[in-house]
Amino acid sequence: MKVKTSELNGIYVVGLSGKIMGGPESVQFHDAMKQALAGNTKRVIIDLGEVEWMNSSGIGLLVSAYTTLKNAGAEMKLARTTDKIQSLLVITKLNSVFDSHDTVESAVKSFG
Amino acid sequence: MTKPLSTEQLVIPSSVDHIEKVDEFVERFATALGFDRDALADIGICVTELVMNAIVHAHKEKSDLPVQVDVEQHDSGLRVTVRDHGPGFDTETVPDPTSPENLLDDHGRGILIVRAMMDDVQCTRLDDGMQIAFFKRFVPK
Ligand SMILES: Nc1ncnc2c1ncn2[C@@H]1O[C@H](COP(=O)(O)OP(=O)(O)OP(=O)(O)O)[C@@H](O)[C@H]1O
Ligand SMILES: [Mg+2]
Repeated sequence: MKVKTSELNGIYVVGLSGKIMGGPESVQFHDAMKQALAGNTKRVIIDLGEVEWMNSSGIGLLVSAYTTLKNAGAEMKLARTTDKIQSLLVITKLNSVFDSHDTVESAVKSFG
Repeated sequence: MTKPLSTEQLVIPSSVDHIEKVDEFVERFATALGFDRDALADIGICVTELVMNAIVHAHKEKSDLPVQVDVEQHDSGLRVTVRDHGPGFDTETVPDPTSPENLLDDHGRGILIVRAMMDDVQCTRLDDGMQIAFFKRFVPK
């Protein structure tokens, strides 16, 4: 997994890529989230478009980011959710929890 | 299950630093059998799921304990077996991660995902550990 962060109209965008399988690089994602919280960010988009696949470790990262942000009064949206990840969200019933968008632009627009 | 057409084995120490090696090993074997990208993803997801469990839950990341991964080519598909030397567990009584009280837990979804994605999952509790195997069928073109 690779983690790339950027900012778009005051929205913190975390781009993930590769395979997310629970190796030591999970720390980078947690660091990106800490940075978002430290910056008092209220809007976060996780861009999943370049993720080849993820296992439950990846799903766990998304859930932990979602709850941490929510507790801090921030909102998280998923963008470019691949078919593979979408099927995992259905299996785990998290499709009802996360707000997923086909493009980063539509995720940006969805923030009220 | 009938005798496999070919087999290979990988043994790794119990450290998450080795998880990518497991994926590469199984992906190489499965690619040679002709699985497509989509099936390769399912196989990668499930084998890393089981090996992570062996490393983290069974062996508590004590790196001297080996995790064994066996891959077998069969007429109808690929069989993958993950073997650990931990205390074992009852796969029938793991909490349901989709129930409302567990839905937002950080963990608890691995076994559910393997069961949902693979054609046949066999969990065997041995005297000195756990053996979990799954089968991925070839899809006729
Ligand atoms: N090889 C194993 N040896 C001992 N206990 C295990 C093993 N595999 C799984 N378990 C037990 O079964 C539970 C469920 O495993 P599962 O993979 O579904 O979730 P998890 O590993 O806790 O979290 P996640 O996989 O979502 O990160 C684990 O929490 C652990 O208690
Ligand atoms: Mg697990």
